[in-house]
Amino acid sequence: MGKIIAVIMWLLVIGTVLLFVGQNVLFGDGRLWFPENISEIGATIDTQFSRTLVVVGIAFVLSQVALGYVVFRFGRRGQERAQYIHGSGKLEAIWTVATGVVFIVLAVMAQFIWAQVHLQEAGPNAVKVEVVAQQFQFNFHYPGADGVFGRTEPKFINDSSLNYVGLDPSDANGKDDVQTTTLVVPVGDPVDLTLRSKDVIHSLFIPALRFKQDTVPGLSIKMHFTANKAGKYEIPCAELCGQLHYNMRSFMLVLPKDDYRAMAAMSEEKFKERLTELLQQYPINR
Amino acid sequence: MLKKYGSMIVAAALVAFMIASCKPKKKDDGPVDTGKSPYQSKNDEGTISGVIKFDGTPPDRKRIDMGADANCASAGGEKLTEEVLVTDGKLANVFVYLTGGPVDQFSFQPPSDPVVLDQKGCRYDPHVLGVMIKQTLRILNSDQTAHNVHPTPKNNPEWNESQPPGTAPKEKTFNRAETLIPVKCNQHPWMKANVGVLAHPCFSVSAQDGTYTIKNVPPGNYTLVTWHETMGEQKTQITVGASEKKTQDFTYKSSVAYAPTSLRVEAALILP
Repeated sequence: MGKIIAVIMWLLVIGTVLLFVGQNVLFGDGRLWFPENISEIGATIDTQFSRTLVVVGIAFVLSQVALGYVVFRFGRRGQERAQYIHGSGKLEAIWTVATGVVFIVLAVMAQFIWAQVHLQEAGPNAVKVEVVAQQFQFNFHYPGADGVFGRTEPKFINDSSLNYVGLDPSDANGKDDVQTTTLVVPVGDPVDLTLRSKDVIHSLFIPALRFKQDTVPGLSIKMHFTANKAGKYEIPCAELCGQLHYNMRSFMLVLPKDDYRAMAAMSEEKFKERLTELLQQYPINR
Repeated sequence: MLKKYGSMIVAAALVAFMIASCKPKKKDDGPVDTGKSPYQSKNDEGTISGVIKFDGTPPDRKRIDMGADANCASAGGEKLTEEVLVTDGKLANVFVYLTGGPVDQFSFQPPSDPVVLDQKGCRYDPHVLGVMIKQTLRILNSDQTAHNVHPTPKNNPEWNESQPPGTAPKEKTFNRAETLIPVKCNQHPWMKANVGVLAHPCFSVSAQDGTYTIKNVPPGNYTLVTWHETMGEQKTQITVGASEKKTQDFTYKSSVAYAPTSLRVEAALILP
């Protein structure tokens, strides 16, 4: 029985490896089931992911093969009997240090990528958008033609009059501001996001950008990205945020620069009118 | 003695406290027994009608971005806000009702016909409506998307229920008078309705042309109240004689701040 179990274990390991390699390397496009990457730093994130996958994949195969070997050799009907040992300090130290080194190296490499989007500035010419998440909708606030955001205060929040972010109606800077539920950005220009939440923790997830960031009540979190391909992309909420979380989804519309600039100069009414047309024009890129 | 049985006494006290806590709480959502005698009609009821006018330039109605829900985006109907709905200087969606006089002195039987609140084109239809205490409010979902009906009353129990497309209508009642209860949809934040709940049938909502009519008004002296979602309340004293037809118009001005409504809520969240 031990030998059969061991063989099954080995077959499962071989099958898993073959399925993965065949699907992604031999017959697939090598994207590891990822959606299309349209982010400037997406390739780096994917490389980091692949690197991690290879490391844990090797550990997985080795450990399963070794486990199968032990089951095969010391099974109940086998000739040899397994020997009980109390523990080996030397062995434990080796595998703990080895595992620690591997994970620390992976983490340090990942920090370089994390720092690029969190700690480095997006640049003075970046397109600025404020994101205010709420149950169950992402709101995107643009500064309008003047490039200056209007003042916001919670007491002005009124969902039914579409003032989702609480723009102060008496502030002149806010007169041309635009609030939508769709993120509209230009191709090739850096986009500087400031993320907030009105109620609970949400997570703005844009798979095509390899971008995922929680929005936390009480915090203003800055991140930036550059999208390099026009199209319509999904933005699901990636944090369980309540009963209707499953339905919390927005879209990101990446437009050619000229189209974006034309929209950025529009009034809110014209902006939304154009947005409605564009959302129907573009199919969803998956 | 105390040392020996102290822990037992504390345990017994705790158990007694827990049992007391588990006692069913007094329900606060039942109908209020007013002790009023039922209204006896003498077939001499009057009528109040009028027009709600708007003086000034109404605010632009904003376009609603429904892009996050493809079913809403492709649904028919105009996608504009309807808080201030002015047509040719006439204001719609104003809730008009009576207080004082016989409508407060007597009890009235609610009609058996339900009042319908539909969800159509990802908006509530109608935007403002009235029901009587214990009268059925029938809520429909005519859309191809799921809605989440969520009234947020102050005097009645709050509830919050999903209504997927194609499901049966919801039938609800309110047991206490309240002017007015905001109803939102948790799925689509732009959706809002306002439901006025009264103990009597003397109320009306101004139509697209600003007109309203309150029928079957028992003769007496009243306060006639108009309520608007963003502009607040106006009140006037009115006397209705036997079988009398009274006319009372109101005018809202864009530049005037009216009395605060019972709906004004200050946000408690602070965004950094």
